[in-house]
Amino acid sequence: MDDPVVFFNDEEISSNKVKLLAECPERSLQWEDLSCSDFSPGVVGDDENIARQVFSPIHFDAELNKLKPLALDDVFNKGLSTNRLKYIDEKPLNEAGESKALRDRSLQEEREKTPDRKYLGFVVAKVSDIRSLFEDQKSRVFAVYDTGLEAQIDHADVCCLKAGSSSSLPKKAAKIHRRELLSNIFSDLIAS
Amino acid sequence: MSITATAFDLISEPKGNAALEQYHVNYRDTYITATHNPSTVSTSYINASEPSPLEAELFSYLNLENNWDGYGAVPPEHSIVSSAQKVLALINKSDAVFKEHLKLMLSGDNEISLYWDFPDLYIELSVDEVGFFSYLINDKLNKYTLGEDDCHIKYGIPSDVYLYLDKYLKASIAA
Repeated sequence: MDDPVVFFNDEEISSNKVKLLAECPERSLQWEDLSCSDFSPGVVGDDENIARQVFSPIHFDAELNKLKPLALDDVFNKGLSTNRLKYIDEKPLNEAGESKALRDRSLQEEREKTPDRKYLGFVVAKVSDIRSLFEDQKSRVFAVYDTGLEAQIDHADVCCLKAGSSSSLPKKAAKIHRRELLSNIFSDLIAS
Repeated sequence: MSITATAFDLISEPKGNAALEQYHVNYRDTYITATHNPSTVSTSYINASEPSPLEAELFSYLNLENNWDGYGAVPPEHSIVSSAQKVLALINKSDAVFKEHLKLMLSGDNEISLYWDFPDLYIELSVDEVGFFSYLINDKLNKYTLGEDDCHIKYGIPSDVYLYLDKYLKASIAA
């Protein structure tokens, strides 16, 4: 598949797309320079900031006021959903988060079983910092794609381009390390 | 007395006399201590006991439902929670100062980690397979990483984990 728009819109591979991207890292890196969505306002620039909304206290380290690394685990499978702050301001971003949490709560079937989901706020990362992460000094670890949606043109995905071991770590330990490195790039929580 | 744990199966936590095994059991949202004698295959349930804060946090993961994080996360399987509890029990036998700084986290994809996050040292024990964990030690000060995949829980926590923690905490106190 050579068309990133087709790739990122294929629902069948959606939950598994990062694995496919990691199988062909050269092509996957080239796709950062191509628009990946018909709804996108353009490719994601290095100078942009992206935000990750936080909907569960389970993902939040209150002592350090930051996201726990496993909160970013989507980066290894379906892609980490983020918002491009160039195209959405803080106020509408928070309003969208509150609305989503409200919507999710209304969809809960067993309300007594699960603590109500709550929108906590968001964390921010600079795209150039994410794209500056290299492994073994030669290969990029993460890519950022403009995956705008019809109702959310500011949507972007962060995906890991490495799936195996590194020069110093076996496969799973390397994955833990990549996740930790990414989590350190994101800012403290900006509460809603 | 016969009890069937509905919310959670027995979680092994051997203590004291090797002939007796003790467990924490989550029975109808109450944590009780069970003592099992393998030689007589008998189990007695002795007293209600409060789980530690980390145990309580871990057990609370069992009450999650689909999409608990707003991004389509699935709840963890009981067997993964049970394995994570066994790793936690191993750490609970270590130095109190190690337990003091220990934290828990959960992915949306059936993975639970126990970790220490200091400015110059990061250690994570990740449980993504029943009975096993993988670990990373990131010594940020010396730019050195080490780790191992799929360590069997029965062999305990790798000595490097405690070595690095001990060294780091002692250096922090000295500073």
